[in-house]
Order: sequence, then structure tokens, then C-alpha cells
Amino acid sequence: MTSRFGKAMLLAAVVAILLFLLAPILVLILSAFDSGNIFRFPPRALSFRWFETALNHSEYRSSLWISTVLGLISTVVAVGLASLAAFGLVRGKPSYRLAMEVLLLAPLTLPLVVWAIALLSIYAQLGINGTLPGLILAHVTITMPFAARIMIATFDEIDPNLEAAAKSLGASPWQVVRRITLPLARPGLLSSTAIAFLVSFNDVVVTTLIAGAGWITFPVRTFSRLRTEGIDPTTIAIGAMIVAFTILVIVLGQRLFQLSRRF
Amino acid sequence: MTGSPYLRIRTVQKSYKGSVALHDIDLDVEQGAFVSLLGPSGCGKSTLLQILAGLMEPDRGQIQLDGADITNLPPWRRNIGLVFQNYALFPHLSIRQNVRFGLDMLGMGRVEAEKRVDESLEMVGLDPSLSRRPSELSGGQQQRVAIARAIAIRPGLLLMDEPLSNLDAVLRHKVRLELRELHDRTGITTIMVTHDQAEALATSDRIAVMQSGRILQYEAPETLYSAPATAFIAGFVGSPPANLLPLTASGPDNWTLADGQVWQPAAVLAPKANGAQSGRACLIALRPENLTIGTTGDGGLPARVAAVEFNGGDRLVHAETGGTRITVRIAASQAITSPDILLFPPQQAPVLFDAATGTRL
Amino acid sequence: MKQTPDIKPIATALLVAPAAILMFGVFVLPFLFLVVLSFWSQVPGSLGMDPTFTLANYARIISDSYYLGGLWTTLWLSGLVTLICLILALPLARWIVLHAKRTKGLLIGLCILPLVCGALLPTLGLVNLLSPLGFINGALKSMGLIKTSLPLLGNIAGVSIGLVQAFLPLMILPLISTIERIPHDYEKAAMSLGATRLVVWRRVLLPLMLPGIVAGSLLVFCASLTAFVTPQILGQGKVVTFASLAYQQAAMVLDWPFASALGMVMLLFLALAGILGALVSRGLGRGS
Repeated sequence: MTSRFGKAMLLAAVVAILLFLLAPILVLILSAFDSGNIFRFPPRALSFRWFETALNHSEYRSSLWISTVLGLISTVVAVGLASLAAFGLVRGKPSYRLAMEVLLLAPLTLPLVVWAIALLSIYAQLGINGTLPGLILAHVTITMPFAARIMIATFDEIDPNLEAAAKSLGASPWQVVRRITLPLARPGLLSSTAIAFLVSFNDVVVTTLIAGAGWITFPVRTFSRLRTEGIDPTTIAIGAMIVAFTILVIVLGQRLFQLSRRF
Repeated sequence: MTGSPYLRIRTVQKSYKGSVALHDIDLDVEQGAFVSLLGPSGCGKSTLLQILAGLMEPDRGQIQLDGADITNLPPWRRNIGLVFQNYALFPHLSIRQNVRFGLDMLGMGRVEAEKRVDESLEMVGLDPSLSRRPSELSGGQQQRVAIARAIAIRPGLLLMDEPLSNLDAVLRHKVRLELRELHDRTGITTIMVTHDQAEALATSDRIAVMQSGRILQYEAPETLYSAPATAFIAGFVGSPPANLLPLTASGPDNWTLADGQVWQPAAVLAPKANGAQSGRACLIALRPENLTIGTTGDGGLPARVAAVEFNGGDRLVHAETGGTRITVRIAASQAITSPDILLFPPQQAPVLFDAATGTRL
Repeated sequence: MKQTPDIKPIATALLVAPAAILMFGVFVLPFLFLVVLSFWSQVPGSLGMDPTFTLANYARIISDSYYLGGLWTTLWLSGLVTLICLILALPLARWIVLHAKRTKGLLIGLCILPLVCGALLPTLGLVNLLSPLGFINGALKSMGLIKTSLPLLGNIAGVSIGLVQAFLPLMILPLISTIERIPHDYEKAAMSLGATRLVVWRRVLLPLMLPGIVAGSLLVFCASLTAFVTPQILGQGKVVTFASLAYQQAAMVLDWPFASALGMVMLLFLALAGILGALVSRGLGRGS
């Protein structure tokens, strides 16, 4: 951009687009502070009333709890499997690396709603419909691409000479992993854990089809309430908290272990 | 046993992805020697180093260190130190922790280990109270730490992969002398991989010149310089390296140059005296500092001066003859007044190679 | 640099196997089952499925205008959303690459945020923004630009806005990586040879950005085609998208074979889009 006017116009356009991108989230957070009974933005008066109600609402509490537990278990499994595979692919340099990466990233490219329909039918045939392990398997699958992508990038960045140097100094393979590889992979491990947890926590598409009556996660409960009762302030308050939590994780992730670099 | 060498490499062969990286390598290194593996990139020198370190397995062959067969030992059981071109210092550990790493692996007690760390850092000229992270140091300092880390464990063999390549030219000169001094003080058997012949000549007891996976010649630097086994070595070693002039024997007394010129040199340089049959295509190695320039006389090669470089202490004259550019080193005080000169090789048995195979005649 | 692997092939295979088995078994196999399932039929009145081969599901899709209409709506809606995303993403991506050196990480994080928040939450915020009593209508009214509220929910407008908002990051990220790879000097060189800004864009920048444009467009188009949460909420049931139909059949009507057939149709169009994208990038790439 050579002209200053042109540059200013570009900047204005950029700001407008960014606002457009983020406005809904901002609106969600701010309107949760509204004191009135109706969901309004701009809020007329500020209050924490709806946050209190939300946290005391037993149905929502239980679905938040389910989302958290599901998220933690799925994340640990997904990051664990992804790290093992990533380490193998990067250090082992097999000829099938590219094919394997495509496989690991597949859920990003193929439509999850179609997959969920198929999975649902298979689960019904196998009789594991609506069980927690079935749900966990599904969540591990949808978070795997994020974990895999970050861990592959992480191991790609670790200089292999470091591991060679450690070996030459007398470290056995296990000691190399413990003292060199893992500490250096830590930012990646933390990043992928954070992202995988967020993805699992916030998933609607898959969970709404797969989850049985006993395992309704927060987003799914919200979605079904939306369709039956419309929007109410309690839902907004919880939505705001989730969004704030997501933003917090991303900001902390960026500060502590440069989250955005790992993509 | 005086006969058995400290490090013994026998028939080591390695191929990958279909091509042969090392062809049946044999090498003996005496205890306490400083040996360089010298060659252009792709010659296999780094591969050989990796195999010595245990980071790569040879397809065939045997390696013995101090009498023990280490061929199948993994790197963490061989008593070796390794210094990398990019230093490979552990970024998440401090300098001292880096140097201590090998000692921790040996299970050395804290007090003794810290003392050893102090010694090693002092030996490479660093202040032992350096408590920073590797990323805060300069390249030269990082390299010293890498060396300190490798020698802290008092290895039986020190392997260095192009340790000076990442340093700037000035530092390289200084550090290569320090490397030699360090070696002399510690007495550790050292093998250094390099593509820089000046570095190898300056530091080594013996140099193994490699090309295309083979060792062409394994001699002391002086021998390599004065009696190169192949034309490649002659044209590679030296600063500047030897001039290689193509000529064909045309009769017992004369040579024909590439541009058709006929040259009748002194008797000791003639084809007859060197076993070159008429019609044999050869290369003669002419060292820049052994050639003299004159305007008259018998047996000289007519040449035309293309350029003269002033080097402070001497001059480099670049002249064309027989279709080839020849470089001559003369004293700075000698003046070149006319572009047409005569080049005189030294009056002794020449270094001649077969033009097709590059081997010594 | 060493080309040989640092760990043995067996170790590599063991490390990679668990993830591979999981992904293949849980993700890939269901798609294969989907193909089979689309030729089954639901036993009326139960969850059971009759495996006799039948084309009835596909016949129903092709013959019923409800489903065809939904397909058509979804297709052109996705196209519209893709176009809008492209127009909005280009300046933003260019800005991030060229002018935002220090804040780049932050801006990329902001772009990723909607992706990670999931389909639901930003949509909630949008509902308020777009509703007749919401912020946008309120602001426009107070500026005196309109008298009565614009209907922005329950129609294509609202759904489009929601989909663009949701998938804009999918267009921005590939564009950023493509633009990063274009040496800045190309523009300067073209301009020094006398090209105007317009010509520079048309003949230098757009062709070079083509891989990113194709990648981003493909991602946005495919995501819009298969989206159902956002259209359901913002469309308030009045905008029928193909994915919503599939969702209804699977989750509410519980006619899984029919839902599978609907899914297969979606996959077909995704494949067509992918092929089109590949042809475009190869064809235009060669022509420039």
C-alpha cells in the first residue's frame, strides 16, 4: 500500500472485519451481565444474578461436570496417542508419514455430521449406544487432529542432534526421552492439551447425535433448550462463562507456551 | 602390544537409499592422535563419523576401540565424546548443567561432578561461574561449551563434526589452534570431520582424504602435500592448491599442451624420465610456491599473465598457458614487467598423474 | 543432515499403531459402513434396520422436492458464504502478513478463537445481535436509518451472516500461509515495470495467492455444506439445509438408513467440490 489513504482504508476494513468476527462472542459475554429477565444487549444494568442462577441450576451443573470429565479423559487419551504417533513419524521417518498424517487429520476434512450418523448406527448395532466409552472414543477421534498437528510440529522442531548428543554422553533411550525430549516437548504438550480440551468441551455436532440420555454435555443441553424453550438468561450466563474460559485458555496458552506458533 | 592401534576400523560398508555411502573403509588411529577426515560434501566423512559414534549401523565391518569390539554397542555404551557443527547444546539446561550431563549419566557424585565441570570449562577458556543459558552465548562460546561437555566425561575418543564451520573466518583461525592445544593437553584421541583443507593441514597428525565413500590417502599433512596419491588430492590440498596442467607425451623429450604448444623441459621432467609412453595423457601438479617466473632460459613454459594479486607478503600471479590458468606465488618485491613470461618448474622429479584415472605415475 | 531414521522401523510402527488403529477403526470404517447403510431401510416403528438391498432412500431424495429444495438451498447458500468469506478474508489476511508483525500471534489467536469455541456459543451472541430487539436493529433505528426492524433471523440473511462468521477463520488461515510465501519484492518489481495496482493484483498477486484461495474456499464451502447447528438456531427452523435434514432423520426420526443416504449425497458434493478445486488450481495455475 503506497498511499496513506489506501492504508487507512485497509486498516478500517480490517478492524471492521475483526469486529464482525468477534462481536457475537463479546455480545454474549457482556449481555450475561444484564440484570433484566430478557436477553438484551446493550445491557441496561449490570448484575451477576444470572451467573449465580446458572451455577445453582442442577441440570446445568451436571452437564458442565459431564463436559469436564469427558473433556479431561478424551484429552489425555488423544494427546497421549497423538504424541506417540508424532514421535514415531518424526524420528522414524517412515515412508508412510504423509499418509498417516492425512489419516490423523481426517476429521478436519470430512463432515462430522455425516460421520456421527454412521457412528450412531454402528453403536446401535453393537449395543454400545449412549455409553460413556462410546462417547469418549468419539471425542478422542475429533480432538486427535488438533493434538496430532501440534505434536508433529513440536517434534519436528526439536533438533535431533540434541538427542544424539545426549546418547553420546551416556543417556539410554529412556533417559533421553525423560531428560531431553519431554522437557523440550512440554510447550507442545500443554498447547495440544489445552486445544483438545476446548474442542471436546465445546463440541455440539457429534455429541448431540452420539450422547445418550445419561451423558448430556453442556453444549448439547444448551442446544436442545434453545430449540424447545428459546434463549434464556441462564443459558447466556453459562455460555458467557464458557467463552470466557476458552479465551482465558487461549490467552494463557499464548503467553506461557506460544500457542499460536504450534499451528 | 605396540602393533595394535587404539582405534581400528575394518571393512566398514554402508549404503542407504540404493547408493553406497562407504566402500569397505579401513582405518587405524594411534592413541592420542589427532586425525582429520577431509573431503568435499557427500564423500562419506560424516557417515563414517556417525558410525563411529554408534548413531548409525554399518552394513558390514568391525570397529575396535582400545581392544574392545564396539561395533554393536549403542552410543550410550561407547566411551566417546561428540561435538556437533551446530553445537547441539540443550536449550532448557544451563551451561553448567549441559557440561554436567554426561557426568550425571555416569552417576558421578555431585561434588566431584561440579569440580569436573569447573575443570572442563577452564580448559576451554570459559569462566566456570558462567550460569547462563546457551541461547545467551555467542557462537564461539557455545562451541566451547559443546567441547567442554564432550571432554568432561574423559572419553576414549573425541569425535568432532565440522566444529569450525559455523564460526566466522577470524574466529575459525583462532579456534583451530585452540583445538590443537586442547588436544595436546588432554591427550584424547581425536577425529575431526572437515571440508576445509587448511584446517586439516594445520591441526592434524594424519589426514584421511575421502572421496565418494573411499579413503584416497591417509598420511601426515606434509606427505599429503608433497606426495599426493591422486590428482584430486593435489588439486584439493594447499592454499592455493596445486595447479594441474594437462599435457600429452609426444616423444621421449617433449610434452604437448592442450593448445598444441610443444614444451621441451629439463631432462628430469621429460616423459622419458618419468615412464610416460608417447601419447600418454597426463596431468602435472605444479605447486604455486615452487614455480619461478623468468623471461629467458631453457625449459620454461611460455605463459601470458592474466592477473596479479597482491597479498601483502607475496604476490599471486595468474597466468595462462596450454589452455589452463596457472597460479604462481612470488615474493612481493619481484616485479612483473611484461605480460609474456616463462614459468619454470622445480628441477626435480615431477608429480605426474594419469589424466584418465588421476592416479600417480 | 542425517537422512536415516533415528529409531528402528518396528519401534516406529509400534508408536504409530495405536493412533492409526483408532482413527481407522473409529473414523474411517464408519464411512464405509455408511455406504452400506444407505442401501438398507428402517423397520417401521422400531430402531431395527432391514438389510435387504434397496434404492428407496436415494429414490426418495431425488423425487421429493422437499429434499431437492433443501439441497439446492444448501448449495447456493454455501457458494454465497464462500464468496463473502473470500472478499472479507483477503484484506484481513494481507494486513496480518504485511503490517502486523508484532501482533500477528494475537491476531491469529483471535482468528482461531471462533473455531475452538464450537458452533454454538458465537451463534448465541449472533441471535441477540440480529434479533428484532437486538443491537443491530436498535443501532440502526437510533441512527434513524430504519423505522421498523429488519428481519435478520429466521431467514437466509441471518443464516448467511452466521455461517460467514463461523467459517471466516477457515478462509483466513490458508490465505495467511499462502501470502506469507509470496516474496514482497514481486509487487515492487511489477510496479517498477509500470503495472498499476489493479494489474498487479490481477496478474501477479491473485495467481500467486491461488493455492490459498482454493484451499480456503474449499474448506469454507465444505463446512457450510455440512453445517446444521448454526442454520438451525439462526434459521429458527424456517431455513431448511441439507445437513439439518440429515440431523433430523438421524436424531429425531431415527431413520438411520435414510440419514445415511442423505449423508452420502453430501459426501458426493464434497467430492465434486474437491475435484473442482483441484481442476481450478491446476488449470488457472498453468494459464498464468
